[in-house]
Amino acid sequence: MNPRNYVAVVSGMPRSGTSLMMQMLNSGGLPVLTDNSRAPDTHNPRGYFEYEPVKHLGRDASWIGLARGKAVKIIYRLLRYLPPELEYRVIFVERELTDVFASQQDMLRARGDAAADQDEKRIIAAFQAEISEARAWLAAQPNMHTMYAPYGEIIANPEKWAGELSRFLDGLDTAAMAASVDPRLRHHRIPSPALLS
Amino acid sequence: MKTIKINSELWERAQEYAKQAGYSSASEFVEHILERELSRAEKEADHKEVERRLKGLGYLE
Repeated sequence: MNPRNYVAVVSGMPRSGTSLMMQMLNSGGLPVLTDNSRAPDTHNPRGYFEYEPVKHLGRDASWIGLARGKAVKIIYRLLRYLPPELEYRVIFVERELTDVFASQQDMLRARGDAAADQDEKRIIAAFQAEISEARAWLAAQPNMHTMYAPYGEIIANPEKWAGELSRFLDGLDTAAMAASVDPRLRHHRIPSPALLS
Repeated sequence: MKTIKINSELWERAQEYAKQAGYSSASEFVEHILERELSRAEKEADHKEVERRLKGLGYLE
């Protein structure tokens, strides 16, 4: 029996490591809510772990009960649409925004999307502002407990972070979680002295 | 510094309000309003650009 009566939300910026986090949690024994609508590809060889209805969360949250006791991936922009009557434990994955931007660029170019032409400095500044707002919003929600998970540190020390995640989510298989982290999955790494987000 | 033209009646109202609100001059008040409105518009434009990006990545409808 699943003892968790809350929804475990994996959040953050797209391409910040949220799929890796879902993979870790799944390996650790936490069921994940996914419909596999987005197949694995070169950008995420182990899969995206997404659930299509999440995209429509702003106009239909009726499915959220299905996520109780499970992990579901929800990008930071959509967190505010989560129904307030449920409890959430949010794992907010953070990654250097220059790396996030570079990884997004690859995906946008592969999709032939015009957003690949956006100005890097402007977008990163906007990301920083939006993440700050999301953090402040999360801190003010009485039904949400948030753990910030730095992507680079998880890759560097998966055993330690598997333990942290297990404590946050009431017990998971930490050995399996740590073993699921493949450093080769680190798509983009641009040296930078500070975590921007 | 640049000079801008402004409707006389509006300028008088700006002078009166600036005095009441504690600005050192009507110019300071006008600068403050311009700065505030530009920041708001720029933030909104940035928000839309991020939205366009997230849609392009397939994370928003």
